[in-house]
Amino acid sequence: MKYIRISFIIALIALIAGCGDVTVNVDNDYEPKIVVDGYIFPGQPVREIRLTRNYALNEDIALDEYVLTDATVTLTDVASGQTVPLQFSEDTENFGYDGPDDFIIQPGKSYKLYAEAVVSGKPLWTSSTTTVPEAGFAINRAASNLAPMTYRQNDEHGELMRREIVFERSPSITQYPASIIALDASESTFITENAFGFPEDQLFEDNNFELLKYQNMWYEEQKGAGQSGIDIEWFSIWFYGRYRLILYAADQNFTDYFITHQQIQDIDGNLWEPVFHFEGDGIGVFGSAIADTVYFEITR
Amino acid sequence: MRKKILLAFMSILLLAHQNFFAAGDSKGSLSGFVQDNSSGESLIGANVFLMDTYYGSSTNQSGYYSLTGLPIGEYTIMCSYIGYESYQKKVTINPGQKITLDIELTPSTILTQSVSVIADSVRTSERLYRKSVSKITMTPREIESAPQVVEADLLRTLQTMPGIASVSDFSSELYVRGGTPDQNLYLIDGTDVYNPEHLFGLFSTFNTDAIKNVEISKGGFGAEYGGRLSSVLDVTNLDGHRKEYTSKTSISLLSAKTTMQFPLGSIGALSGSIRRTYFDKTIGQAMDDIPNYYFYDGHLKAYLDLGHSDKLSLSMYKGKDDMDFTLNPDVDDSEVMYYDWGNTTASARWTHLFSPSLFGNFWVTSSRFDSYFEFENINEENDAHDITTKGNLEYFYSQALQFKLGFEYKMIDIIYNSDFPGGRVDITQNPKHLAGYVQSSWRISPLLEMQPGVRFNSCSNDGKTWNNFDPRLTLKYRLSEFSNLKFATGLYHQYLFRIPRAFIADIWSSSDRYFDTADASHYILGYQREVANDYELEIETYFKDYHDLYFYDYFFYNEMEAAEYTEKGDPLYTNTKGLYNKGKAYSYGLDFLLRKDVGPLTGWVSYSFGKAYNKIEGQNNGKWFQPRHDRTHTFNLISNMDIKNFLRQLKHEPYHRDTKQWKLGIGFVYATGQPLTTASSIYVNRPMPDQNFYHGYNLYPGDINSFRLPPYIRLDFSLTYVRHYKHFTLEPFLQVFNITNRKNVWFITYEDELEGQKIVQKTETVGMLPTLPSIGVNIQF
Repeated sequence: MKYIRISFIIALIALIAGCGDVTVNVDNDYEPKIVVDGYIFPGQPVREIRLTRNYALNEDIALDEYVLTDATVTLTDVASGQTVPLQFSEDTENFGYDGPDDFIIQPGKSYKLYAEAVVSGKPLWTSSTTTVPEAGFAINRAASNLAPMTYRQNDEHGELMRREIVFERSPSITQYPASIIALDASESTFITENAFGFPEDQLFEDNNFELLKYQNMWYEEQKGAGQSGIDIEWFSIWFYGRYRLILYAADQNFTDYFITHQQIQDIDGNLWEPVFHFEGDGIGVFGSAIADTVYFEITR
Repeated sequence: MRKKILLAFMSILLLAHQNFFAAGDSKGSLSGFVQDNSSGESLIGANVFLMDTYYGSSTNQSGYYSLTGLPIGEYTIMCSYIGYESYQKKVTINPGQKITLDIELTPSTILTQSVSVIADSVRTSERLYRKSVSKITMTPREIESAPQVVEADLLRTLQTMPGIASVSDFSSELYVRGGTPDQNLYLIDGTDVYNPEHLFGLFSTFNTDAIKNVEISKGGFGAEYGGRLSSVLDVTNLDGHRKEYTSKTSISLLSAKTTMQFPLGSIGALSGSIRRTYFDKTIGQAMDDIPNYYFYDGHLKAYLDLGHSDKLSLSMYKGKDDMDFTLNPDVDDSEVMYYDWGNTTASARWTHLFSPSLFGNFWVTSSRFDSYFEFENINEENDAHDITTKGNLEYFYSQALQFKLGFEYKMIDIIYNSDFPGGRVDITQNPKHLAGYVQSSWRISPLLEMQPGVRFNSCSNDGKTWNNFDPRLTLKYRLSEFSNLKFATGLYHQYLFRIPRAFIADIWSSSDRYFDTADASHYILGYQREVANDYELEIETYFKDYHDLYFYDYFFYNEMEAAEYTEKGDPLYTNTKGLYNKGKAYSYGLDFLLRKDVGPLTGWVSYSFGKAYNKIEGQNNGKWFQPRHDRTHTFNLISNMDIKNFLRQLKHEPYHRDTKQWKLGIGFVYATGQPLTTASSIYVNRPMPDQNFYHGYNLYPGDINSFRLPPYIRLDFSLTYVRHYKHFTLEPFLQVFNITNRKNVWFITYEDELEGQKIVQKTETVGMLPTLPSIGVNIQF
């Protein structure tokens, strides 16, 4: 009987302990950060430095309040030591240089961004330096395949055609992110017979529509001047109509941010730290790039 | 410091040698093989001893024993093995006499129609004493009795042992005392297995019906093993029935499998098994939108008895998983995802008895893991292949002194090729491993035994060579008639590293110009005690100290450097630079195991306290952190009950062997929740300068693995009806995994929703396996 009693008690404990739902309350300590979303482009004035703040997990975010408007922001030409203050624009919600003299970004030069702001009552600072890619990058339109194509068109040999984009490299850059936007994306232009099995009835669930409309790729190419080619993959194409491709010759900050910041959750659910290039209390990106744009079309 | 330790070990070996030369020829010896008399299978780990003396031994992996240096006189030799009738015989030892005595044990099944689990005649404490430190042995019966997911699985059963953790319900991988699965050496019939996984890691490649014996060493293993930092799993498959044709067929919801054994005349036996999943032929035929997937595995083994002194064993294993998934079956040019992977092993082992006291095994083995993935214009080929020659000699000089000597030469080819948009990886490595070892077992007194050893490892690859001496030491001390104290320590080196990938096959790479060798030191102190005659109690505490570990860099593609570029300008990566981050680790803990292998109620209760810590260059601000597989407390209960006999035992009635039996299995596990890196905050940023729309928010992680998930708790249940007929046995069974449907948490997902100008956050949990009932039947002829 002793065995039965012990077994019964163990079984009861196991049953009680093993039952039911499990609740999880993630209670990580929140640490305020200045979030930088900033890019500079050679030959252009500084216009696109947006500073926002991070939020604690499970805290609602008011998008009309999350931009840091009263931060102190400066940009320094590292070689010359010239520092200019960046002013906040109510129209764009970005910081930019609005001084009397043009402060034009030069290729091949390094620039340091410095920002101070108060987030959740805590004074924070951050800085980051980007080296602007050297000039020379441009898409070679004549050598690129920009002609209209049908979806997954085959060539005369029955092989699946690729859309190749040929470009001259920036001598100092090996990383080339690409942004591909389906300009005519809509329910009616969605390719229902797509080869990847994405169902039409899920097009507007969650952020699916935007995620299919806005596609990103990333290519590593040889360092030094010369010509390279990249293929636009068919898994970037989900709609009929016109497409805009912006290819960036990007610095390391831009590339590391682009590659890592949305890929931090491993398949087993664990998180990895994204690769950012900030000192102090900053996260996000302060990068530089040369951009070139082409258009192409997918016909029915 | 290490040189000093090495010198100390060499001194111990020399001391043992002095003893060697002091021994005389006025004594006799007794040796032979121990076999199952119904099948002719050699029995591994059978106890052979002279009654009323300390002279005794256990059979080795070939079923051989040797009692040497026996004083002249009359003795009663006893041989026993769990599940078999004990054997006794009077023998007389004369001066210089070398008696060969092959022993055949009769399984209780022959006498009783039932697999009875009865105690053998050797004291439990003696059996424990003879066992190596941190070694757990397991029989197919124990593996099959434990309730599992759908069908019995070796690695999943081992996960219930103390000090062996799992990382999730979806993985059969073993995390041994804080180590990672790549630090485990998996052997089938002496052949390495690189990625022993079926069904995306859910099951292991080992078909339990083909297994004869399983041993896992959780640490402190002797000089005969090397090349891994944490553990050795040594699986021996059935040699084959040498007396008659037998077969076993099983059908579960997962697979159908059959194992057959034939005698090969009077010279040996042949055994073979094959298993295949069949849901591609059933559910897969009815549903279009699921991948077409199956796996199979098969093993074939021939055992040839070429005389008393020569045995030849030829073994082959092949397993394959195959998946193809047509993403859109409604269109003609749908993309198809292909993925297949598998292991192929082959080994030839020659066992030769040079003399009654000198026993040798020599192997030639080959192991290949290969996988192939293809999707649109992405493909990946991932191969690891080795050809190994190895041998060992066991010299039984006297009861007080035995030696093991061995060598191993391994030629490995590792190939990883991958084509992806805008680049190619083409890495080929050809490391060569050479090892030699010597180990002695020196009984200093009837109460104290010492096993010093040293292993020399050499690895050459990529123009570099690493030479390492690994000293090993085990001490055993009989504290009393019922209890033993053991200590083991050793240095271990590893020259192969792994990129772990959930659900798909891991990628192996070798020490090369970028990554040196990893090493670990083990320190283990154990206490063993016989409790109430047939309970084994083992308590071990351990400390493991790792140096120069290489941890996979999740964002390795940021770090890798192209060796050259194609004409188109695409990068070609041909080396491993950037794949790993260097680090170190340590773990410590306490394992408790109470086990009962005999009687109507068998099973084990295990408890582990363990802590593991990693420190990786450039991560977590240089701070130590606990890895994902850290489980501070783990409690396991596995109980198998022959219900009728258990009730008889409660009523103090004698054990009765029934032709109809009901068997109940219970499995319960409680484990501290795993550490997890969670988000410390969230932020909103554009992914690209020109994409000014709301993509959803971005996560910013907190300290690595600083959050603990809730405890993992699971209760499993199995019920088997065993019906013995005249010529066959039928066993229909029901298994229920996670019977309480507890929603154990695997990880956390982070959701967001845009409500006007406000982002609302939500965290959700991803659960592990729910209640999974399954049925099946075993038929044994």
